[in-house]
Amino acid sequence: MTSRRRSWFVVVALASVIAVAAVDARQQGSAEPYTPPRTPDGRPNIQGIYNPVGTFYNIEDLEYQSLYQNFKPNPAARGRSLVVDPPDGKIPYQPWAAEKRKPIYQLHLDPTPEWVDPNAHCWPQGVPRHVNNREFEIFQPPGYVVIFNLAHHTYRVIPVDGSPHIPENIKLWQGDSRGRWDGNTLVVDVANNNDQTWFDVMASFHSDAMRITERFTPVSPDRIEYRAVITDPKVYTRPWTFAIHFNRNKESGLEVWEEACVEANQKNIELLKRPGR
Amino acid sequence: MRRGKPEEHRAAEAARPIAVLAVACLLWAPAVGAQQAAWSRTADGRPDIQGYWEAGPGANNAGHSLEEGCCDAEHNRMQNRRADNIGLRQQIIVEPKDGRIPFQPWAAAKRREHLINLDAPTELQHIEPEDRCSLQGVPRSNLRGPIQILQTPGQVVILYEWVHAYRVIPVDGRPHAPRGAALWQGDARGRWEGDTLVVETTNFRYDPQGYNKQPWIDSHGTFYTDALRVVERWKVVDANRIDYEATIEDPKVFTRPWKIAYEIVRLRQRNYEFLEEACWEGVSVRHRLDAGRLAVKAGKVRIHSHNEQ
Repeated sequence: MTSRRRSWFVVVALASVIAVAAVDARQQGSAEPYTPPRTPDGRPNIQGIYNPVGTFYNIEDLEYQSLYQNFKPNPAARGRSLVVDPPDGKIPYQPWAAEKRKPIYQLHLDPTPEWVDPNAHCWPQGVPRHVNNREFEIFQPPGYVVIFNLAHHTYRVIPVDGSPHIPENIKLWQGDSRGRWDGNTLVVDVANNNDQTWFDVMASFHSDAMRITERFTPVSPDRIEYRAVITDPKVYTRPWTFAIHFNRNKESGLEVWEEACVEANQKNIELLKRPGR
Repeated sequence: MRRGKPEEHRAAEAARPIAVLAVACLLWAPAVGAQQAAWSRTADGRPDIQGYWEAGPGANNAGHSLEEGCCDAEHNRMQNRRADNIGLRQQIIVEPKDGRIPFQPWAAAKRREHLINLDAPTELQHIEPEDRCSLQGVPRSNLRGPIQILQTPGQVVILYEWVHAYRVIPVDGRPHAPRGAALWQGDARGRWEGDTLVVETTNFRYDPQGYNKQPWIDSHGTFYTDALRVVERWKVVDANRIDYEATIEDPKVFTRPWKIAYEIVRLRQRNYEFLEEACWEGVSVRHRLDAGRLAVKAGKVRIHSHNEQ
């Protein structure tokens, strides 16, 4: 990437609003459970290109997206959280972890290198953040569910063939995913996560003990409900649940191309190392 | 990534005598004798080429230079490679017959510049794009380690271990993206001609100033422009072999279209899976720039080559 291109990506990363969660999930009122079509091997067919309805900025307070990217308040989103459990909508950090994370609330607009969002480095986004950032495609060849991300041009392969996890000592940015179908719901167990990714811009961190159980439930031809139960006994006091939904992107002829955010993207970090910091 | 699943190994042990018997029967049956290992077909009748593959031994070293291969004794020592693993095993460029890339004069000069900068980089873009973890483009991606092919009725998808890249090839007859959409991997459209997957890729992104802030076709500075068109032919020969060829044309850079060809073979390792090559991870090139600047300052500049060893 040229430096111009690189700064373009920074602008996109900082300015792009995925979608503010304005749609109330409870609007769906149909009594009949939805049965998706099948793939040739008899699995629920959820293939297609989707957009997450979530927030890029602060999963515990949806107003941050408007405040710091559109520079206007949005009282409707204030205090609303994508964390549906615990009921207070807050990530249940252990006291030391909450303490560690405190400075980010002062520094998120102008972070010191230590608090720069890992996404600004173009690193793989990890689970569940990679399904909470721009278009992605779900692809289902026999035995797998594969997710292609536009953002960061990553792929994630989820074997659904009953194969076991890789040995515990291997730690990966996107973790090691193993899936199974529970009725029409794709259930994915994500282990082997490294400790380098966040859930949003607000330093919502975890350790390499994190384990995630995801549930992808198609509820209509064009909508998938997504829940991730996140467990990390080193950082949180209890498991917590992150919930968003995905809308099928029906733009005619849409394809997932590439965001070439793959390079050792050091420039952002250099820019922050100014005198006095 | 290879890992054992003990229960499967045991099953395989038990099945071996049966398999030997089955193979013996097959060899004996005259009707089957003439055929090579048959492949299965997907639900829509195409050759099922899903699974893990890599360039065969004949293409060894070609990813570094399509003309000369790789490397020299010093490089091999540093990389823990066999000392005699030098050069190409077979000619990879099959057209023109001399195995050289038909650069136009201006492009040959530009390429020479790339080769000089390669040995003594003073700017980030002098370092070869592959080492900067960028996407590798076409056809180079296919020469860089294992690939996994996945198929559904409308798409052939290639996952790459190298830089964790992927390539989606629609095979549903849709047209190319508009000219303005310039991509590192290009815009690929495929079709099946019998049992050959033909993929035409256009819309490549390039750097009109230095021709180095873009993917190269090999480490030796083989560049292209937005006029690049690559036609790949993946000819399925048997269940474990694909004859691959790619015709490369760019009338702004080359005097004529040229063609590479080699064999792609199925990976034989059991339980192989891609994990991730996190080639995003703050790869530092600063020491290489420092070394390059010192070399330039000392006047020690040469053309990158493997011939003098």
